Amino acid sequence: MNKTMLGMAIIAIILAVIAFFQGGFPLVGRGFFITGQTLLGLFPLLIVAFLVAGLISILIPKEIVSKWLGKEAGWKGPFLGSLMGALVPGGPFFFYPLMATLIVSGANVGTMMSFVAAKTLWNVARLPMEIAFVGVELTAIRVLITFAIPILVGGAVNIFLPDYADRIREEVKQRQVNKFQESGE
Amino acid sequence: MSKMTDALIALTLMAVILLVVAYRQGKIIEGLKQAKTMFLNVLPLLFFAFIIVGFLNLLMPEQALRDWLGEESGWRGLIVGPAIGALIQGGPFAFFPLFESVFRYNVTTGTAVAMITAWGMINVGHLPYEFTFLGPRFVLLKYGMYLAIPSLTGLLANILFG
Repeated sequence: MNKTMLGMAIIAIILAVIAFFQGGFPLVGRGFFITGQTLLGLFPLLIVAFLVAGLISILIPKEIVSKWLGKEAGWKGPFLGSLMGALVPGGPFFFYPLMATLIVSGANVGTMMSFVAAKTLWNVARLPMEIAFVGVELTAIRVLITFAIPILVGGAVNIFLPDYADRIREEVKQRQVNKFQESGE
Repeated sequence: MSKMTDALIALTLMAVILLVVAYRQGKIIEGLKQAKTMFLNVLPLLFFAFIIVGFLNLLMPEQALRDWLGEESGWRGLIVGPAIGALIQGGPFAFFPLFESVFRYNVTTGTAVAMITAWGMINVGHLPYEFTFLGPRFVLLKYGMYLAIPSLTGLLANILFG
């Protein structure tokens, strides 16, 4: 049981307690029912997502990651990271592990900040939804105003916070190493 | 539902291509083992993440959020709007219909832009996943940098298009 899991367990318990005070056991039961439903509904997606993440981590050559998304990429890094974010499908349980894999393989942390910003701001799969519900005008304004953000945030981290970014990389690596050791036991 | 089906199809295609590549490179067993290890490692964390997101979904009082925003005036909408956007849970199929029916016609263009941006960039429902896979330092960096952005985009939208 590591710290992250402990923290999340505590938050889950606090939320369940709040639910209890708001609606007693029926509401708590509904919370767990929703959880079970989500878990079962997403299970096929989870299996495929981890299949993809696992295969990528084995197959992707570190030189390529470092050339396109790492230190060698320079300003192209945040741009390519953003482009990737706009195109990659799947929810948070897929793209966060993918980000971790890429960071360990040599992608810049700033470039991954571009990726995660573009995942929501440039996401091509989401645009039709946005247009359908809020209309062309508001969507166009929203896209225009937020367009530069993914590249700017990633560039800023790469330029101004390289040391902190290295510490994040170490932390992500450490997490994976610990996990592999645990799984090896 | 159809968003999920789309994602499943897209990811399955990726998986098939990667399996073929792995097979040709003779790395298929290694890849499958890696996938299994990653999956089993995060399964307990995902379990808690789903509980947290499920309860957030259940406990989020939409009426209270609407009252909180109220008759927005000037700066208030640019601060409270993004806070509400960050709290609303669910993917685009949950968010956009809710936003359109509940909030769209009570807010300025700027607040609308700020809410949509906040829902995407600083959504609290992503925190369990971010802690799980990337750790506290990354969370600090991301939210430190992103926190003010939705309000600023809203301000810019109000100035340019308000």
